[in-house]
Amino acid sequence: MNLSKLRTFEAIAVCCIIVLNKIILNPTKNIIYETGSSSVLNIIYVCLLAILLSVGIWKVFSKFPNSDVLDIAEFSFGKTFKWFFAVAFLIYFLFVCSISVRSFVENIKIFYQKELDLRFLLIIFLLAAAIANRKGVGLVGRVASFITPLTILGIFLTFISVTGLFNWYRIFPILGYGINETFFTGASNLYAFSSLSVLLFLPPLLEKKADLKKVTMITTIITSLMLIFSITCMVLALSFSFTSSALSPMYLVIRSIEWGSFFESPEAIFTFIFILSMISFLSVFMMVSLYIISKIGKLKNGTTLSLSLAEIVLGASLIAKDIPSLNFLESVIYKYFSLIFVFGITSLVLLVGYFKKKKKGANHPDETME
Amino acid sequence: MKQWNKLSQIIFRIFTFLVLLCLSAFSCLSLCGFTSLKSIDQYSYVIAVGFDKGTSAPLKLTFQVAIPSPSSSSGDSSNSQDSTINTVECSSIDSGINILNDYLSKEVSLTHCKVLIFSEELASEGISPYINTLFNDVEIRPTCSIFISRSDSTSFLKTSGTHFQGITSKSYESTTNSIRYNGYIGSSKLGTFFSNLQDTFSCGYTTLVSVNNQNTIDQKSNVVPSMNSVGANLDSNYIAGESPINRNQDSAEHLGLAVFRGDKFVGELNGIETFSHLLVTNQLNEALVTIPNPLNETTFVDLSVELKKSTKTKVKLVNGTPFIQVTVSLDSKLLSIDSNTDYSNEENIGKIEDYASTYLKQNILEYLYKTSKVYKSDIASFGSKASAHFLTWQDWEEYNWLSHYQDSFFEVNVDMQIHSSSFLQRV
Repeated sequence: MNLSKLRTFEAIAVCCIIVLNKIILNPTKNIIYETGSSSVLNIIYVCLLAILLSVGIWKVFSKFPNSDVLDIAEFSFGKTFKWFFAVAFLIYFLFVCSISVRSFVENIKIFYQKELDLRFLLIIFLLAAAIANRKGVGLVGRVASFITPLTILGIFLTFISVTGLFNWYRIFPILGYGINETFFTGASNLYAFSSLSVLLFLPPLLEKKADLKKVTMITTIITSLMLIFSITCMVLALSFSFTSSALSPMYLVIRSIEWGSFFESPEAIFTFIFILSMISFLSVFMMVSLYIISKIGKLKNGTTLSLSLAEIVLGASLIAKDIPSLNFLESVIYKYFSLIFVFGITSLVLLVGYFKKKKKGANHPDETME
Repeated sequence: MKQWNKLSQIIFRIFTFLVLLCLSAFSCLSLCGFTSLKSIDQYSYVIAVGFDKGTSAPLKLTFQVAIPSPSSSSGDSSNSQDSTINTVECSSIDSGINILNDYLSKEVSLTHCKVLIFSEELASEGISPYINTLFNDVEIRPTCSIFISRSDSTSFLKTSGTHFQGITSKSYESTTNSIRYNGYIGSSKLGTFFSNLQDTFSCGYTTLVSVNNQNTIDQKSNVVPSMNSVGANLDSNYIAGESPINRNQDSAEHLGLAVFRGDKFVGELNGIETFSHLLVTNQLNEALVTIPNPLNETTFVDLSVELKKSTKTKVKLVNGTPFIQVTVSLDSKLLSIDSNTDYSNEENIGKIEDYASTYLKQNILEYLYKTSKVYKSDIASFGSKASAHFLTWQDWEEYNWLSHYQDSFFEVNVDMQIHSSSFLQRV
């Protein structure tokens, strides 16, 4: 059993689980809040942009086989930049990890475990992710390949179960708050896919390097479909004016599901699935963070640092004072951090790398990337 | 030295394993409720909550609390009591619950609450503060039913469950499920009601309930304005509390709809109007309709009706005024049979079809005009279809659908086909 590499299915599962978790948490709420009745139209548009972007990513990486984004950064702007770039990515991943786990735990606390201490619940999630990472990349992939199909099934079942509540006319007025909010400022909702930046670190971890295209495309298509399904559920089933203000709109929709009088609380099943998916989500982010640490620290085995990393995430997740501050971190800081860093700076790095490589390739056709 | 290193490594591994094992065990135990350690005896499970106007405080809350005793589950006696009624006057819902917590010395839990009942008196003053609080309560499910009671909710809760062998919670469940075969109540859940209150294109409605006894039967409603309905003396023209059933005892009756404009209760719909509402909103599963017999004026014909196709509604804006077209397609079975009429005759069936279609068309029109002109409330959510004529939310809000709905005019087409009767076609 090779625990240092990811098989193709595992890589797809790893990438999917991170976006699926964001569906359960805040970004969907912000999308509905900002675009109103045009949320479905906006998310279809955003998904098309994401697919175009993933084609771009694959194009760039096809020029740099077996390299990750840090290698491309080094190739584009030199070693010092690579170091700063890696640290920025590390901070970004730890930030996403900490606000996501905090937000999820706050939800759990409200719905189920009122008496339990917040720190205790956070430790349980982080400990599970840290233990998974101790065993290596392969185990994280295997856990994800088991949990991702379950989460997809959960979202799909939610969609099917609430169709009875659908009022298809809730998508009107079709342009929502306006053409600008739907297509121009609405394009910023691309940040819902920002967690897919994990993809940029996957090439060296893949067992079959040639499958990167498959992983990129399948992941983007699956996550796009799930995002469309979940936004459709939220907009069509309940009035978006209050869906957008709910702590977790997905949970609000799930609570409206009726499976007869025998299953009175089907949301408990979904909560169980989402707990598993949060653990998998954290392990994926920790895996990539450990990979970055190993790379910049030139460590042979970074997995030994998993518990220390979990401690850092725990500390960071406790920074937000309360739910409003957490909402601010998620809807403002996370959004703009993602847009500027992942979609702005990283895209620039990839583009510069691509053109530099192309130019170099044209000048020296025999030279290959080491 | 090498051996010592190896030994210390093994000890360290065992120690790590034990620490992880203890942490996992502790986590598992705490997640299954080990830390809170609350048993079922420490909770009072509320089945239903009634909301009335208080006399000494703004709100009078009535809690129907389940009695978790083995004798109540047997259900062998119609007098067996499975719940108690507790009434408290308070300033808000949560303070009422707090008072009850103290009184019962148990924590009141709303996780099994099936029904929320508001009195008409309280509902006519606006119920959004209560609905918002209830929807925000994680213990109450959005699938919990909402009723509006013509009598005070305390009396209604006291009488409910009496005709269901004392199993009150079952009685609430069966009431909600009776929409499948009964066209006289509507589906009114907390989640959808709250959503309707928030929407700009629809208004809320709930099932109408009342205590039914000799007094309520004699005391006819003066809230429902008379619109010269067809067959005004038919059974379907009753509303909750008025149908002549069990005159000698108090019983809980669910019949008709309570109509809201904004968060205020504005009027009632009787049985046939509720049936029309279910037809227009595609919620009808199967129901019985009684119409005057076109072949014999002194008798009535019973039809079992179901939707053949989904009801089609089109909303056009003619010079800014809504013009609403409704097309209803129905399949029906003739249930009546008498010795004077041959129901196997195609001509007779055609006459009944035409008469029934006209009868339902007139009743649907009456329901539509009553909700638009009298109640000014779009409970059929025609507004959602009207919103398709607008491109942006700003345009839609400027139009202000709910203020234009009262100017609507309607066109209704009913196509009814009688397909088959039961065993006998003539006697």
